[in-house]
Amino acid sequence: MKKFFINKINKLIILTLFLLLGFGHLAHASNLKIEASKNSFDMEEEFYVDFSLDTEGLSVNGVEGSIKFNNENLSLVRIEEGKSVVSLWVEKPEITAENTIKFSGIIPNGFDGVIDPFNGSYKKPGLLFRAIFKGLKESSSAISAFPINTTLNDGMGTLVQTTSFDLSINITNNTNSHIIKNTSDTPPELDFQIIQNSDLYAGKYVLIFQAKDKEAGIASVKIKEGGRKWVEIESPYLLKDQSRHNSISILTTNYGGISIIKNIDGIPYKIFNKFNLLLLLGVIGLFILLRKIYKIKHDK
Amino acid sequence: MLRMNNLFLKYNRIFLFFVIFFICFPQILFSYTTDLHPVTITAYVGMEDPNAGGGGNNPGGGGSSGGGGGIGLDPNINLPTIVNFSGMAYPLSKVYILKDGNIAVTTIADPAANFSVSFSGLNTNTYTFSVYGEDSSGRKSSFFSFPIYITLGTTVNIGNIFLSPTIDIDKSEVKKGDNLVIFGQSIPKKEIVISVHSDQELFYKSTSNNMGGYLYNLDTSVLEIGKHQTKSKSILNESQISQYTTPLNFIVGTENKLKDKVECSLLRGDLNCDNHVNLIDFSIMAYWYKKQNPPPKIDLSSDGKISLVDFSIMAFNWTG
Repeated sequence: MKKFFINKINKLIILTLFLLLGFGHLAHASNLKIEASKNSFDMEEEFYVDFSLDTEGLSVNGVEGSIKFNNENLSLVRIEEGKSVVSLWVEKPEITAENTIKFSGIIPNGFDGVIDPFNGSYKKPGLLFRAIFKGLKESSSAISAFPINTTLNDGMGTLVQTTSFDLSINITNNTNSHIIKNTSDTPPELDFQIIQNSDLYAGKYVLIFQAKDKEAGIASVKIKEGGRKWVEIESPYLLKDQSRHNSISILTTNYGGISIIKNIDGIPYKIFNKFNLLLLLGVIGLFILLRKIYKIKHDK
Repeated sequence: MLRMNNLFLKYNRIFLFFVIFFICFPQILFSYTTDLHPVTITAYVGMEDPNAGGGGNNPGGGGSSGGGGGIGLDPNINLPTIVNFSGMAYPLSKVYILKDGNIAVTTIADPAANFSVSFSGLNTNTYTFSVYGEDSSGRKSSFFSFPIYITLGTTVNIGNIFLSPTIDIDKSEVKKGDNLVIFGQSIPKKEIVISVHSDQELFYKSTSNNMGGYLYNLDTSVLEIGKHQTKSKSILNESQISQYTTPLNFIVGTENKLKDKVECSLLRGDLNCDNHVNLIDFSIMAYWYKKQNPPPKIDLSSDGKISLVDFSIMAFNWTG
């Protein structure tokens, strides 16, 4: 009887080993780490929560997901993505109407962990974004992520299982007015182009841009076309003035309150185009003709 | 079978140990252990490399290595922050260095295929640097990516970057038994390993010429009718083997079809056909994100929608 059970156990072990050898790579997931400086905060006290990606050695190039929290206990003050390893956001981390932080972005050419050049053998998780919260009332609640998807940097966009553990936050009944300020000494950067492409707004003039601030993060990008008002925009942006004769100003502001303005000159009106030239010649010809008629009549 | 069972009975605990060990540390089994392109990463604080006089760089054992140290610092001195890149591409080829997805600097490799480039003016932060080469015909190598934490006042050397060869083929479909020409550029006068992948992976060898060019006439009579892939890598020495190129697809069939020369681009994700995958292409794809009926050329995964998968394919081919 004992031998029978031992045989069964051995078969189970062999099966487990084969499964691990054959399918172990499927279980090889990346992790979304949700971390705060501590777990207990006072009411009205601002604190940050970091959302970082630990790829566990895999090279990934895309990440998307949702973060949930209880808005009766916690209030989201702002989200900072300036120090993120994500270079291009498809959906910048923002709170939705359903009280969820949604995000989606890519890391061109892949990411498998941040290298510390003084300790090259170890790679650290990469920060996706930092959220600043404030406690509203004495409570205990969780900040959780679901679902989180990452894609392998394999040229096929293979989706990888990504796990995460909830972060528990306790809010005490004490009050603390600690505020986390967002300071920056450097101005934001803005790369932009006006393009026309048949697959983008049916070939109309479109402004595309990438605003960056590695310190504080980008608060807003606004545009002013000619005499129109400043409006906040996202890339790609369909220009209101399709004639392109009006000058364009783009105002980029970081969370530290520092702004830069970039100007694009309008296309000048062409005075001597074909039509205007013909019109001018016609007017001159008419003038000469009328003068001649006048002279003939006057001589008579 | 009885003997096997007796063996397991005897070594029951050892089996159990291995099972538990691999459950706890699966990455031991499945990590990428064939990393034969040892990029070296060293850093030091100050202006002069403390290792420079002591026998050169740390050769590194695999993937990347770190090291370096500090010198006595006067806090009033503003030390420069510099990142140096060096490695091998192809003779007189263009080498691009990207910072966070944007082209930061380009350089030309020397006739022996060596390149080195540096740039400064960085603040303390995490930067993702990527390196790739472009041969004389505009074909691109695979990409090296270095997400790295830079501290103000330090010099970081990223060396031994050994770029993959470039690769191209003369036909998109080849008649079984006819030759398929596989060619590209690499470091000069070195061995090139060409892999042809179908049911069974086949390896062929070629040698690059003085300018790094290589060419191999593949006799397709050994291949089955159907879809196949080919890729190549170059061998500098026993310890330095480049990454493989991105695989190219071809069909072994009943007729020869020359590869379409006017095809928009070899790069998947080059939506505006300018031989680069950059912010313009990203913006075009972002416009169609979650929209109905995206154009087929934008829907890279051909699943009828633009999702993270399509952006991922674009990110893999990103050239800045």
